[in-house]
Amino acid sequence: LVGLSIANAQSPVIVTWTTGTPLEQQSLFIDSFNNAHDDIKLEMVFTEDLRQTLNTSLAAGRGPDIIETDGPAFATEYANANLLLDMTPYAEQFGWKDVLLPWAYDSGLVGDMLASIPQTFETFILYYNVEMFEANGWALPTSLEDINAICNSAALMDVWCFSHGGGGTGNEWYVGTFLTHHAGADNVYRALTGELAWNDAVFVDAITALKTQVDAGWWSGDVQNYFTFGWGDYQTNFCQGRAAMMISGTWDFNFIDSYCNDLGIKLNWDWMPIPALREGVEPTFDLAIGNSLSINARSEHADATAEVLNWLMNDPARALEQSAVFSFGEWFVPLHYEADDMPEGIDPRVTRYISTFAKVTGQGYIGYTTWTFLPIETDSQLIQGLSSVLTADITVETYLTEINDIFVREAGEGKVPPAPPTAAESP
Amino acid sequence: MRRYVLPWLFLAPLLLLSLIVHLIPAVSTVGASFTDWSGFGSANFVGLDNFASIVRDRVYLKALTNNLIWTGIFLTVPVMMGLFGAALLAQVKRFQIVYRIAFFIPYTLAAVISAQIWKGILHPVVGISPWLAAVLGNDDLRVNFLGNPQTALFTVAFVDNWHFWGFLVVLYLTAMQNIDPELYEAARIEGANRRQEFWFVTFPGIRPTFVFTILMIIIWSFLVFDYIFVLTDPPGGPAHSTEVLATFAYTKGFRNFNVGYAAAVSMTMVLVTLLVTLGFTFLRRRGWEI
Repeated sequence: LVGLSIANAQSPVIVTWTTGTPLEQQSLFIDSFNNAHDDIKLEMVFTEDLRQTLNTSLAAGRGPDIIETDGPAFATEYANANLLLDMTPYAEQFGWKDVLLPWAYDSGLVGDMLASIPQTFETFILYYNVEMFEANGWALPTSLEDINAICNSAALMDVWCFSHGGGGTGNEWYVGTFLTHHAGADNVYRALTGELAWNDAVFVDAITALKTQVDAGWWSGDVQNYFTFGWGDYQTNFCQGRAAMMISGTWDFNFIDSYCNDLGIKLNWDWMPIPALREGVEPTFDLAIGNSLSINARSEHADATAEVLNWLMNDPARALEQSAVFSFGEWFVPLHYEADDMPEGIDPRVTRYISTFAKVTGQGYIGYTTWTFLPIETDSQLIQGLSSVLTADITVETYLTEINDIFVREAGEGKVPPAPPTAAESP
Repeated sequence: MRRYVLPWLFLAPLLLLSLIVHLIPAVSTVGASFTDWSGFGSANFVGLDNFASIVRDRVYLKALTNNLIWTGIFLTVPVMMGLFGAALLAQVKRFQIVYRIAFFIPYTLAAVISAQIWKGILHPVVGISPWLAAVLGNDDLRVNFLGNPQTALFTVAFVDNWHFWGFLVVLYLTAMQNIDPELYEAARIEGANRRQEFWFVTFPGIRPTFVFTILMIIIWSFLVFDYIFVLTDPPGGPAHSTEVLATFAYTKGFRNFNVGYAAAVSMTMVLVTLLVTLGFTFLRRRGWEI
C-alpha cells in the first residue's frame, strides 16, 4: 500500500491535447513543458481531421483537456453549448490579459466568459516576385489602379497577376481582403456590430471589384482555374513564376520557400501590406486568429491544463523560438514582444513583418478576417456563395443579402465574436 | 419453447449490434431533424421548420437535381458498359479470370486513392489535358474538366463510373454463367442471331441480378459522397455544380454546425430510398418478375 501511494504521488497529471499540427513541429514546446514540470505531463495527439474528431468526442461528452479550434467563432459555438470552461480565473491568476495583445485577448471573450486564448495570430499580406517586378519596372502598388496597371502589364506577358487557391477556404481570404481593403475596415466594423447591413452598397462595390478582376482572368488565368487551384497549387504557381503576386496569409512565410525548394527553385520574393483598394480607405493589417485554445468543461485537470496554456504565454522568447520552427507562420502567440525576444537568424522579411504589424495595428489601423470575426454559418455562406457569384448564378446583391440574413440570425443567437474597433471607430 | 427461444438467443448478439449501429443512430437522426441541434449541447424542438426551409433552399434543390442527373447517368452508362462487357467476356474461354480481375481491380481501390490519382490526371496545369495541348500544339485541348461548372458533375461521374462499371461486369457475368447452355443451343437451332440471343435468352436469364443492380444503383446514387468530396473543393463545387444531397448535408452538419438541418436533408434521402424500395416491392407483388 505504501509503495502504491508513493507511486501515485509521483505519477504526473496527464494533460491531453488533440492537435491538427504534426507533432514533430511542436516538440520544442512539448519537451520544454514536460522537462520543466514533474507533476504535469503534456500528451499531444495529432489528427488529420481535427474539427470532426473534436465534434464527435465533445458530442459524446468526452474530448481532450485542451480544445484546439480554428478560431474564436468555433470557440464561441462550443462555449454556447457549455463545452468550455470559463478561463477568467486563470487569466487573472496568470495575468493573461497583460501578456496578450488586447485585441487577441478580447477575441476569446464570449460575453463575460473567457472561452479561448489565441495560439497563433496571422494577417494577410501581398507577396510579390521581386525579380519580375524589377525586370518590368513595376513599383509596389499603392492603389487598385496601380494593381490593375500591373495586372494589365502582366497579362500582356501571359503572366497571371495573382496566384491563388480559390478552392476550399480560399474564397474567404479574397472576400475578406476586398471587404476590408475596398469597402474599408471601418465599414466592416460597423457591419460586425450591426450598424451597417452586409448588403450595403459599399460591400456590393467591393465584391463587384473582386469579381471584375477574376472575370478579367487576373486570378490564375480564368475562373475555372480559380475554382480548381487549392492549397499547394497557389504556392507552386507562384514559385514557378506563373504569377506576379499572391495575396495570402503570413502562414506562407512557412510554405513558400518549402514549396519552392521542393521544386528546386530559389525564388526571390518579398511582401508588402495590402494597399487600400479604394480612395478614402486606410491601409490596415487584418487581424486573424489561426488557432484558439480552450479548456474542456469536462476536464478533470483544469488547473494543470491552465498551466500548459500559461506555458504558451509566460516567456515571449520561448514562444518565438517555437514559432520560428514555422517561420512565424504558425504558433505565433500574440504577445507583447520586445526586440530582445527575437531569436537570432530570423529572415529579415519576417522581422520587418513583426515590427510593422505591431506598429500599424498599435495605431488602430486594423482590418478583419472573416474566419476570426464572423460566426461560422455566415462565414460558410461567404465561402460557398462566392463561387455562384463568379459563375453569375446569383448576383452580388443576392450573395450579400443571403450573408446578411444569416449574420443577423447568428448575431441574435450571440454567435458573433467580439471585434476590436478601428482607430476611427474607437469611442 | 426451447426450440423457439434458442435461435433468438443465437441471433441476439447480432440483433443487439444492429440495434446499436443502425437503429439508434437512425432514430436519433429522425429526432434531430425536428430540432435546431448544433451537434453538441442542447437542442430545441423546431417542428417542421427544417423541412420548410429545405423546400425553399436553392442549394438543396440544386443538389436534388444533381442527384437525379447522377442517377440517370449511372442507370445508363455503367449498366450498358457492364452488360456489353459481360456479354463479350462470356464468350472468352481462355484467361477469362485475367479480364475479370482487370475489370474488378478499380472497384477494390479505396475511393480516396483513385480519386486523388484522377485529380492529378485532370489537373489544369500538370494533368493530361495541358500535356496533350502542349505536345500537339493545340490549346483547344486544354480543358479544365473539374473547374468548369458545365462539366464538373459529369467528370466526377466519369471517375466514379471508371471504378464502378467493372463491378457490374462481374455481377452480370456471374449471372450469365448460370444460364442453362441448352437455352442458347435451342435459340441457335431456331435461327436466333447474337442480338436475339442476348435479348431473348441472356437478358431474361440475368433479370433478377439486373433488377437488383438497378435498385442498388438508384439507392447508391442518392448516397453518393466520396468521389465528389475528394475531387471537388469545397465539396460540391464549383458553384454547387457537383453538389449532391450528401455533400450538402455534410456541409450543413460539419461545417456550419447545423446538424438539425443536415438531419432533415438526410431524411429526404431516406425518403427517396424508401419510395424506390417500396416501388420495387409493389411491382413484385403485382407479379413482375423482378
